[in-house]
Amino acid sequence: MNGQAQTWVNVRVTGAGAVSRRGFLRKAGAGAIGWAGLNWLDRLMLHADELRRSRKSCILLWMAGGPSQFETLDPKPGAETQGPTRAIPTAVPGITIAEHWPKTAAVTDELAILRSMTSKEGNHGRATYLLHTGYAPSGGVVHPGFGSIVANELGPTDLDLPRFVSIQGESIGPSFLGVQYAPFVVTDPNRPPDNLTTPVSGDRLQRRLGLLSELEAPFARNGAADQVRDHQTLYAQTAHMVLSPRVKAFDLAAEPEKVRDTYGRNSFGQGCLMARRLIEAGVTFVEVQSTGWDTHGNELSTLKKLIPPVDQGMAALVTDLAQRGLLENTLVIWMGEFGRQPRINLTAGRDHFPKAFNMAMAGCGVKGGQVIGATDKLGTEVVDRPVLVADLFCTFCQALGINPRKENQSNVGRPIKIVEEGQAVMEVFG
Amino acid sequence: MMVGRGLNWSFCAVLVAMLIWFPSFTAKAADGGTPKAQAPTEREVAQRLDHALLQGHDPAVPLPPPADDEAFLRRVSLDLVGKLPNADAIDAFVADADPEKRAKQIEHLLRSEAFAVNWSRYWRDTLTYHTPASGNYLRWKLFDEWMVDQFRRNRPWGEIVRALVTATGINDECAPVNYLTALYGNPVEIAATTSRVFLGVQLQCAQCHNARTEPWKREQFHELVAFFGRAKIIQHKDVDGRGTPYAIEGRADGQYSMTDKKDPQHLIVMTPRFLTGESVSLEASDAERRAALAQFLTSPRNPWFARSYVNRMWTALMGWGFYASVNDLGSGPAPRFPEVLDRLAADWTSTGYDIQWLFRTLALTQVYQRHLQPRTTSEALPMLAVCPSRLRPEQIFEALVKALGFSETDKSIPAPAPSSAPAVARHTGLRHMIYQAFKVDPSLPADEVQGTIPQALLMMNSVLVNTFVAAKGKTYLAEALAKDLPDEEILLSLYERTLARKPSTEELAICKRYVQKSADRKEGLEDVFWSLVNSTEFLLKD
Repeated sequence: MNGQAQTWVNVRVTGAGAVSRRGFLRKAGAGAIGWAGLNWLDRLMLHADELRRSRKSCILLWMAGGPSQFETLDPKPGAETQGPTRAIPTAVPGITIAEHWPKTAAVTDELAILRSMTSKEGNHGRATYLLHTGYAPSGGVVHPGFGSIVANELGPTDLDLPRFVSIQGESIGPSFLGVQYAPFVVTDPNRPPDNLTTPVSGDRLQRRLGLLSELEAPFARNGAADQVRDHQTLYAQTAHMVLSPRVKAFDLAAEPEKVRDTYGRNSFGQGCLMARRLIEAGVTFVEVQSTGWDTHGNELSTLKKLIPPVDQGMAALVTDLAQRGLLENTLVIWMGEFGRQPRINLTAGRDHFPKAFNMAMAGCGVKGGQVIGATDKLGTEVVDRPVLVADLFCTFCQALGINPRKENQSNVGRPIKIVEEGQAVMEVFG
Repeated sequence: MMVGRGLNWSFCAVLVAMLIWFPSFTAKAADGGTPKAQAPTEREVAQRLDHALLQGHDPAVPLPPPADDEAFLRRVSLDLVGKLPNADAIDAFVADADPEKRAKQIEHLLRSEAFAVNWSRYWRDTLTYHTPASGNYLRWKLFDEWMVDQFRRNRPWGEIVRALVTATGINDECAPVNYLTALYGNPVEIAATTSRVFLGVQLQCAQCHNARTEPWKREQFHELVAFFGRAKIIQHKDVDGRGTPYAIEGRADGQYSMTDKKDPQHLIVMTPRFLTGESVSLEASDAERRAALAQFLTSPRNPWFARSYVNRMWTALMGWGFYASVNDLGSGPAPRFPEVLDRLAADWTSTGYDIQWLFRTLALTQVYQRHLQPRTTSEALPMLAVCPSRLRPEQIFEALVKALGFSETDKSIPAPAPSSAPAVARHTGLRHMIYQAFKVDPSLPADEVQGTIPQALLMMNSVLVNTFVAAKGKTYLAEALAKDLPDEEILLSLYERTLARKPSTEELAICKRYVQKSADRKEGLEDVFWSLVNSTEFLLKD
């Protein structure tokens, strides 16, 4: 592989240069001309590894549709609002969760459970945006998703993999932060992403890229120099990924069967495993989505299918990260866009309820084995330590070492803070 | 709450019928825009624009030369109909000795169905790009068809906007109401989007505080919102399995209120008042409020309506505009040539907001017909030539169809479906695959639109591209080789298919050398084809 990539990198660099006007690979590009092909890449990668050792990363387990707090982490045994789901004890004395989560119960000592989330957004689209950006939607200002923010703040600039990967869902885009912080979307973790492997040999791909570079030169001279340079930068990044040994992070076939089984042989479980592999390979933010939590009808039968893969995947992920020593620098977040009504409706389901819902997090300095905040006996009101979405995002920033008041220049000509309001929930860190 | 459908539909039908029977309703109602007969001709205005923009041009900086026929034809075809011309059309156009051939070509393109499709998609994406609405809130197919019909009939822009903001009814049946349901019927979002897209005025910052960079007060934003204060979204029953539809209805009473910043418990009732100061009373019904808003919006006295549309279309065609952002005619850097924009906006207003008139005018200018200029040197040649911009997703799809020669309905090519994201599933199959990979907000400035890794992966490695660049099966190269065509003829044809032009001597030499050096001639030609499809130029309008 080394010899192959070297040929092509030389062609590319001498053909059109590699300095992007947007600072994309800017530092590397200038030096690249003088360095020999892959050596340059190798050095960048080594450097990236060094940086990674001190850097933090984040995995968001997103429950699209809005998971019910009663059937997840805030059961109300005995209450008329609870329905048939019972509560079970966990690894932490005094903390009980819904009976459908036995594996998560066993790793509760790593989890901080927040039972007092509250918001006003009860519409899926708006609430998904809010719980991904920290802001309610507001016309022309398009806020970047938290994945893009973290990739921008913490991601190494010269990794040969995308810094933000979203598995089984599109997440929310980078907006004004720029496409280099866009989520690279993996639609199905059971197979590597589409078009990731070259259908021709590596040698031939490089010949093609060499020819492309040569053919671009007249067009660049003819008034499109900037566009050609950006295009070549993107192709360089993409080709590096295609030809990189790290791209194996996307291929779960490299994992022992036993490990794949531990995570669960389903899309969510395998998505969690891919997330761990990607974080290990240097990716900064991975979102893994589970869909179908919008349980307006026949809730219990839906949840009985939906929960086991998430229970198994999340517990395996937390355990695996801890065993590999990755948990101390990886923030794991479990949440959805809102909770569900205390009142069970006529079709044995629960409707949207943003007023009181729950979430959990682990790793990255989070003190596990604790519950923060509480709802009343029926689960209708937050009665202790209400946490707003802005507070939650400040808490994420605190864990990851990001200044929540840092301003980024937006698309509407005024700076936008990473999180406008709120304060970190410091109890999370013990 | 469920409401019977018959009533809503008939209301919507009446409104639509009014607009069909009185096509100049808007222009006349909007305190009498000058009749169309007195509007200046496109050619006069184009000449005036060229003259005005050359004032102050530093003669020491050479102007880009006129674009040759091939470059003009590719540019104007992409701009007006969103497709590349085919080889025969290119040859015929280049050979045509008629001095009026460019004007005739513009006319020919404007009258085609593809023109209506191309611009309806631009507007559909502009209006709905940012909403995470599902297909229940946005019946995209109905909305698409309606939009196409507006452009097919060259309906005046003022009327289209009026139909969108005044639409009432169920979104299964009343197409324009989808603009409002796609924004969840939320008055704040509708007002912010309406102001941004139709006026180029960014008011949403004023939602929370007096904007730092604009003259707008917080009250003014909420007064604008109040025009939608009695419009209410209602969920209907899903009777035919298409998913729950939504309707916009007027509510009989109620007022839109703004929170008092000094006392958050206190709400202040807002009178519907437009940015120009015109208002309606608090007693006005929903229909009266929104009809009044439509009139204020589209009135020739409104200083933003025509200027924002003209700036937007100029930007779409030229790659850069009078203002840096089509969304923001207020707070950004000072505009270039504001007096030229004002005059052009006034001329366009006098046509009764004739959509085709403006396209014709812009495409006839020398500015449009010059060779492109690099963005980096553009400040030395402000507004004097086209800057390159990236094709929109469906233009890329059409370009791929033409270059590769596949059929949209070819089921043998895998078109991996993206996940079930809230983004509207507008299409299926190969078109959807390309659309999803390349989708972009049409309001973004051209220099902010950048490629993504999945796009590069798709062009580089996909089965679609690699199947059809191969000299195997039913492909162009397989047929060309079977006919024993010489390299040069094949290479010329590859350039015409992908880039709608012939290669330069230099390019032809590079390609020939590459093919001759290749151990396998067939593979050499495949590599050339692949490189052209993967080139910067393929994705650009230049």
